[in-house]
Amino acid sequence: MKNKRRRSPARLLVAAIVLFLSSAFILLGLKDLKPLTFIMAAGVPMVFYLTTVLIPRLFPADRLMLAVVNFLCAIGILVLYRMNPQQALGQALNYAAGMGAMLFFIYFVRLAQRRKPLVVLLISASAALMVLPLIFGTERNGARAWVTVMGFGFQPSELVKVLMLIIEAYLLSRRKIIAAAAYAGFCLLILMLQKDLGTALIYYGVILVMVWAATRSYLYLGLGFAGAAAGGIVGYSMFSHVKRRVAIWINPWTDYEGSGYQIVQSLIAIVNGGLWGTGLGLGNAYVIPANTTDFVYAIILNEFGMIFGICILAMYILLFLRGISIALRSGSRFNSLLAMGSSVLIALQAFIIIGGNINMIPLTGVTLPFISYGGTSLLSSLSIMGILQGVASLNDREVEEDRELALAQGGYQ
Amino acid sequence: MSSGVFELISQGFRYWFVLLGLIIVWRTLKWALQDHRAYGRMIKALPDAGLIGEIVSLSTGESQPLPREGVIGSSKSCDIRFSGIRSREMEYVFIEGRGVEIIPAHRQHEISLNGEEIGAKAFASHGSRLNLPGYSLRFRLFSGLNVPDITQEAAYQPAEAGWYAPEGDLNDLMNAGMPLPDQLPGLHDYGMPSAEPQQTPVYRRYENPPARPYQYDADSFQQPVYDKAAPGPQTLQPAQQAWNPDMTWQYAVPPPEAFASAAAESQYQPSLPLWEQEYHQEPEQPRKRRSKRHEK
Repeated sequence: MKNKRRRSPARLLVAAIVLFLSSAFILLGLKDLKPLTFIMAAGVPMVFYLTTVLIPRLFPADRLMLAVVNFLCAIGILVLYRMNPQQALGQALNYAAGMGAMLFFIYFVRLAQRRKPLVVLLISASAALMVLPLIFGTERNGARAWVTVMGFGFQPSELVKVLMLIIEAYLLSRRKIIAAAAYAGFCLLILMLQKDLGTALIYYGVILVMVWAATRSYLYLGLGFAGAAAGGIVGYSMFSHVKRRVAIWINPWTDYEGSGYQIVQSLIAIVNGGLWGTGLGLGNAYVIPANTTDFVYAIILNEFGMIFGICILAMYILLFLRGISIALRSGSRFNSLLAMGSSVLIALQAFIIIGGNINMIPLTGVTLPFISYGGTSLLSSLSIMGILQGVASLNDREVEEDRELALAQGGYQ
Repeated sequence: MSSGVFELISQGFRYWFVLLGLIIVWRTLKWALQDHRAYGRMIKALPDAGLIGEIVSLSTGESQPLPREGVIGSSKSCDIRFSGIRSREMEYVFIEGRGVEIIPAHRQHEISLNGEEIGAKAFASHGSRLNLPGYSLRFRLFSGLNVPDITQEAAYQPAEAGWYAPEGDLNDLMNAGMPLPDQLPGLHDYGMPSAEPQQTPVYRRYENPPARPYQYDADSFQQPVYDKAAPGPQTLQPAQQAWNPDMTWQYAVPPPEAFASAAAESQYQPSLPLWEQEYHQEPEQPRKRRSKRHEK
């Protein structure tokens, strides 16, 4: 009798990703025949396999989410290696640091449940971090959002994202709507002063969704949308670069050599890639400015094609749905809001930058989570994933406790 | 490698990458769906998942499931709703080893736990009585939860409706072997422990009097209360005197005619002793023939 061994989707998924990464790096190695490329062809899939398979055995982590996140990070390293190998190596180091941050936040969420003094400390820390660029910050791409310490530049608003999620989840779980709104208003005000409108948009959207999830009040939702519309009008009338970006969004070809150059080149690269792409190593998306940060999705569409680009988009959607599922499974308001905010933040950030790349919405300078080059961005994205993983592990623990309770009462078989 | 050959290989690999991308998405989706179904099956097998017990209204007997944490109030966004109280009256959180932490939502409140007004917070456990404005509620927590033993707090309250405070030694009452009445009918089907203290006998007034040694004390003896007015003290009635059927006093012996008439009314037929009965055997009924088809 033939012994049928059931194939697990996890094993096949990991095998498919390892195959994809190996073949992609080998293909790049065939182009330049550098030993480093072949080392990457062996190393990146191996690291992917080890982190996806070993971490859930050693730490309380959701395997599916970890596999998706590792895949997106590996895609980021692959694309960065194609564009700039030095950045790829830097991103690999950022990934290692990000994994450490993720593990830290898994335990942070598990241990720091509804601790009021901790939240007070986080509010103070986040306020200090937010104000830092206004005093010591340097301006990049029109936004004064960067701080350089001992030669290392970082974006405090990216780190505050993580703290903001925890603080808002705590305040909203305690139904302190006014305090939550005051904290959100403070953060948005500082971001407006820094002219970091993309990050402000993400903050606003996430807080709005969290408030609605906490109160289920359509009044607050309506007020939020009205506030967003009013903020948009005020921003449009106050900031010249907002006007310029809206004008580019409406018709990028009016100034295709100036302010519309990025978008125009991005659209050309996407169209050039077509359905199947130009082929890895054959694309011409390197002419797009900021191609490894803001326009990394345009490179993927250029070299891998639209179908693969839709696959990447689908991975973000699945990650978002997984996060929502974790939020709905949670029995605690704090954890539920934390998971909801985390998944909405990642999804909203991905939507804003992908929409900007394909000129669906006005372009704002945010990174594509897990894929774009950037230490602070990857660190904060993986930290947010750590929060989600922590909530998922708490859900598992609660289900296990429920099962033990049912066994104690003899009601579960 | 020449650029022409690489271009050819790379363009061929485009389809390979798209295929792998589709497989990755499909497998991720399948894995997520499998996990979702497995979780659904688990939850179906655990109908009380996410709950720590229930909260029972002592006035109506209605119960509401108690999640691990939530808000009690009249608003529709509250986890546990009671009409007539504030939109958000209080919050509660179950904390391992300490019980259900109760946090009033307002500084001025009328919330009390086990008869005592609570300050900023208080901890309830299985059997604790919570008083909200207009409501008297009792926590019923699942057995197996890590909560402190508060037997003293959960002791019966004589003033509470449906609870009777017996006088005398409780040990005597417990050894009386009386059945415990169902104080909250319908709540025992969920495999949860009873809210009332397990070692305390509860019975309806005078329906099951406690078995205690009879000690007649003329001074403290009181007549039981019946629906009808209890008969006053009377002397022993002679048996030949006309029997009053309303008279239920134990010493009132009914006349023999009363037995006969009662037997006639009840169609009672006294049977002969066994040795005087004729042997009677009912004729055996012919067995019905069953067809083979029927047997099939």
